[in-house]
Amino acid sequence: MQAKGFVLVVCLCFIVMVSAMAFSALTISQLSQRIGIAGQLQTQRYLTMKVKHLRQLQQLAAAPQPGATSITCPPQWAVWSDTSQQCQLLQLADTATAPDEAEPWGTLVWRRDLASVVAGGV
Amino acid sequence: MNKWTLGLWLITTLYTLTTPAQAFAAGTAAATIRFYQPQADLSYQELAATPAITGAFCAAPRPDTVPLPFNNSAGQPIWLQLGNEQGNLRWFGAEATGVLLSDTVLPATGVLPEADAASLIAPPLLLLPAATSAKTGAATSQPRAVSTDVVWHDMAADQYQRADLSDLQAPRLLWRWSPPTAQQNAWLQTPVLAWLEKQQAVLLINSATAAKPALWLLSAATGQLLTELDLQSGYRQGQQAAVAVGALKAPPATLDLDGDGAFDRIYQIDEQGQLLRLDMARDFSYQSSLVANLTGQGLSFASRLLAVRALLPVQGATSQSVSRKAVDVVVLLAERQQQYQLMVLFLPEQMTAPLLLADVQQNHQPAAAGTQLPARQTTSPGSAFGWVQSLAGQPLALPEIIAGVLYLPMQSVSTAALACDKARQADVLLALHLYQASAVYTDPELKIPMQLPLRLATQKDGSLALQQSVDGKLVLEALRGVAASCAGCTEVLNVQQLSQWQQLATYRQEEVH
Repeated sequence: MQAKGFVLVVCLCFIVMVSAMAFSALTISQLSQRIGIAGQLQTQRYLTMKVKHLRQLQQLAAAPQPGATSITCPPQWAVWSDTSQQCQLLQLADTATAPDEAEPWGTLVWRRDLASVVAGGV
Repeated sequence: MNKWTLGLWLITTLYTLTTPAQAFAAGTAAATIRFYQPQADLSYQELAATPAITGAFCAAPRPDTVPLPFNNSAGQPIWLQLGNEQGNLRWFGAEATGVLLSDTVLPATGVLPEADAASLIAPPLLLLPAATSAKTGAATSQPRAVSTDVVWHDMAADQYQRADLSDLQAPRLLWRWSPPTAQQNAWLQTPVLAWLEKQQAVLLINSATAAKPALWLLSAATGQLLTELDLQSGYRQGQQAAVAVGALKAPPATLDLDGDGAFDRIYQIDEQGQLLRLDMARDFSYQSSLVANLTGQGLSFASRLLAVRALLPVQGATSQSVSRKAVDVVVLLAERQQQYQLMVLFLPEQMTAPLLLADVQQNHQPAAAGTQLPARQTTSPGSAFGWVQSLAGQPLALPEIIAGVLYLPMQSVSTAALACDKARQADVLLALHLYQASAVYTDPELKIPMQLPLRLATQKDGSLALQQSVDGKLVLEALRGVAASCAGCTEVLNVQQLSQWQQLATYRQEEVH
């Protein structure tokens, strides 16, 4: 009688242990699936945002933009020697306040400011 | 007629009588010259009587005058012609002419002295932008508009002056500065404007003498000496043997390497052709190195240097991979017995040995339009050191680079003696590809009669053109610039395309939740 009870207890312990292992495995797989989905969504969001960001870059007009700072023109192939020529540097970054709407991409753009050069002499 | 009507009639009659008198006075003012003498308290006093040295001045603007956009007494925009006649600052306007006299007496020549012929290439005075004035504040993000402040070298008195010409009836002397060492060989120097931190304007002035080759940095606002660079003892220790630096006649060129608006590199060449590179720190400490040795052929280097930062394509390990490397492009004008040479040097950051004249004497004749690079340059354009071009005339202005194309106005026949009443008339415009010395237009030397200086202007279709500053006459239309699509390609410049925003870098921002 005692032996049967012992076997029953051992079986119950084994069942509990196997159940716990199976539950943890299920939990881990579910968690990893969720992490995977979240990562996939994040990557998809990054790509969507990047496409949106690049689209905004393409729509950036040639006109001066507010917030641009005047800098020395960076080295370039089609170089200009006029010392009065200045370039403008603009940091296009997200200004959204909500974290979910925050755009993860930023871009530095520059343009040549020809106003002073065209007015000056050669 | 009551007394009010009588009073009104009197006022009207007096106004009618005085108005032609004023107009007559203004008309006669055009024929008169006002003379101003500097005083000890840094003011100018107008002389009541015409000084005896009047005959030494040109009656008309000299060829080396510099045009300055100016508003006359009626507020109308006019061009003011500014000249430096042996230390005397002259101005020619539509209403009057004036002279800020030097402390020393002029020799009565009446024509351009031979030594001043070099000033035809570089302007003999410096027009300062408005941001250099202490009264307008230092830092500004606005474009640097031209002010009416002028800095010039009084060669006879060996001093530099800055004057405010906003009121031509009462010009103001802002400061004057004398070099600490007297120049043994007087040479007209035009200060070079550069910018330090916080938009502080500085002037770079050479000592023309070979006895003590030095470069002085002055505050443009106050005229105070900021530092003196002793170029004789300033060589980089341990790498190069000290070389005797000759007379420094060519004004230097500055470069801003990090894009912060302040210069941190100076190129300086002595008369014999030793080109120095000076890397400056914020505390004015510097390291210098000899980057090119162009001596040996009797060339004289006295024209102002031109230095720009450019990206050159460099062939990578594989045949397809091409990267771009930033190099300094230095443009020089050399002269030997009235024969001029144009030199373009490509100077990389790290140089194991100074560049020699033989390294760059590859292109003596300009190639035709569309000609590709020589085989050595085609395979590795970045390894080219530059090119030399013999000029078939006398340059009349400093070289100018517009979108990778080098322009140089010249006079096909060199003139030893220049009359002072002739305009700066060029008849050849040299236009070459900056990297390949090939023709960009139909001919490398465009036969176009033109009166200098020239200016850039936009056409109705957005293309750029070169015009005469004096009357806007078209000199060259549909300007072309080098294109990155192939080695020798050029394209028509368009303002809309040139003003496009260009992507520098795209980065991922850090998200903070």
